[in-house]
Amino acid sequence: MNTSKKNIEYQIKKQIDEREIAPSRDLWSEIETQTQINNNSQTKKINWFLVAACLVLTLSLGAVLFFDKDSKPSVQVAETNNTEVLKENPVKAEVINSPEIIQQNQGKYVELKSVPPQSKSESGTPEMIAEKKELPIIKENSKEIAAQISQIPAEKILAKADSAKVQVKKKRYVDPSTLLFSVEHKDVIEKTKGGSNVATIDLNTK
Amino acid sequence: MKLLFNNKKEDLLSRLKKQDPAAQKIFYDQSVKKFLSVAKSYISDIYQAEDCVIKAFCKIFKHIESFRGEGNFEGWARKIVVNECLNFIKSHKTVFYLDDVHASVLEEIHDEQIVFDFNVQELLDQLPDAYRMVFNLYVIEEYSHQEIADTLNISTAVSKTQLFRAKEKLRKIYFQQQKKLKNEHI
Repeated sequence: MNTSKKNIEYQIKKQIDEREIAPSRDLWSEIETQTQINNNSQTKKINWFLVAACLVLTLSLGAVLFFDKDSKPSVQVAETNNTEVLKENPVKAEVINSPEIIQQNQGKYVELKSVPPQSKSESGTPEMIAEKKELPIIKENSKEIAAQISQIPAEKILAKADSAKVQVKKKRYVDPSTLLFSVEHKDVIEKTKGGSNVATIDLNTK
Repeated sequence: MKLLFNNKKEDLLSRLKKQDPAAQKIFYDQSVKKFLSVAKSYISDIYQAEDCVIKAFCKIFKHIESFRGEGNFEGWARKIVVNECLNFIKSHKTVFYLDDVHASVLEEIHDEQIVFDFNVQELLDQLPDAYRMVFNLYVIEEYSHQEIADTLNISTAVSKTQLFRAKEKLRKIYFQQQKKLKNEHI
C-alpha cells in the first residue's frame, strides 16, 4: 500500500481510525438481554449436566446396594447356620445331660454325659461326632432304657415328657431318646385333651 | 502511569472473563463508538451496522475465554466486529466479484493529490459491497491479499482486482465530490 500522505487510501484510513459514531438507539439494553439469555442457557446446560451426574450417582448407588443385598444373604445364611450349630450344641449337651433316664442307667452313659459342656463347646465337630456315637449306643440299649422307664413312676415320666415337649417347642429340638421311645412304643402313647402325649406303661409287665 | 493503565486493562479483562456485567458495561461504553465506526465502513445502513455491533458485543462477551492474551484485546474485539459485518454482507446480500484485470493495468494507477477534506462515509457508501469489503480489509484492517482471499473465500487475484477497481471507483467519486465542493466554494 502506498503510504503517501496525499494518498486517498491513507486519508480514508486516517479518517475512519479517528472517527467515532454514536449509536442512534440504546444498544446496551439489547446486548444485556442477549447476554443474559446466553448466561441462562449456559446455566441450563450446567443443570442438565448436574441432573445427569445425579442420575448416574443414584443408579450406581442403587446397583451397589442391590448387589450387596444379593451377596449378604449367603453370608448371613452361613452365619446363621454356624450360630444354629453353636446354639444347638449347648442344648444338645443339656439334653444329653438332662435326661435322668440315661443318667440313672449305665456307667458308660454317665461317663459320656458327664463330660463338661465347656470341653464340648471348644470345638463344634467333635461334639457332632460324640452325638453320632451316642445315638447307636442308645439304640443298642433301648430295651434297657425301656425297662428303666418302666421302673419310674408314671407321673414323673409324664412330667419329663411334657418338659421335653416344651423344650422342643421352644428350641425346635427333638430329644432322640424320647423320639426313639415314642417310635418303639407307639401303642403306649396317648394324646391328652391338652395336646400333650402321655405314655401309659404297665408296671407289672417286665 | 503506563503501568497503572495496563493494570486497569488487565483488571477489566479479568472481570470480563468472569462475566461481570459492570465490566461489560464499561467495555461497551469505551468501545461502542469505535466499533460502530468500523461497522459503518462496511455497512452503509446505520441500523444494520448497529445490529452487527450488538451481535459482535455478544460474541465478545461469550467467547472472551478464548482470548489467550496474545496481542491486543481491542484488536481481537475489532476483528470480531469486522467478521460480523462480513458475515452480515455475505448472508444478506449477493456479492459479485468481477473478472481478473491484467497485472500491468494495476500498476498504471497514479496517485492524485488530495487537497480538500472529503466525507469518507459518502465515498465508501457508493462502493459496491465486493469493492468495499476488499478495500476496507486491505486499507483499514491492513490484511494481505492472501488473508483477504482466505476470509472471503476468493483467490488472491480476485482480491487484487477488487482492490484495483475499488480504488478506481473511489477516485472517480472523490473527484466528483471535489468538483461539487469547488462549485460550492465559488
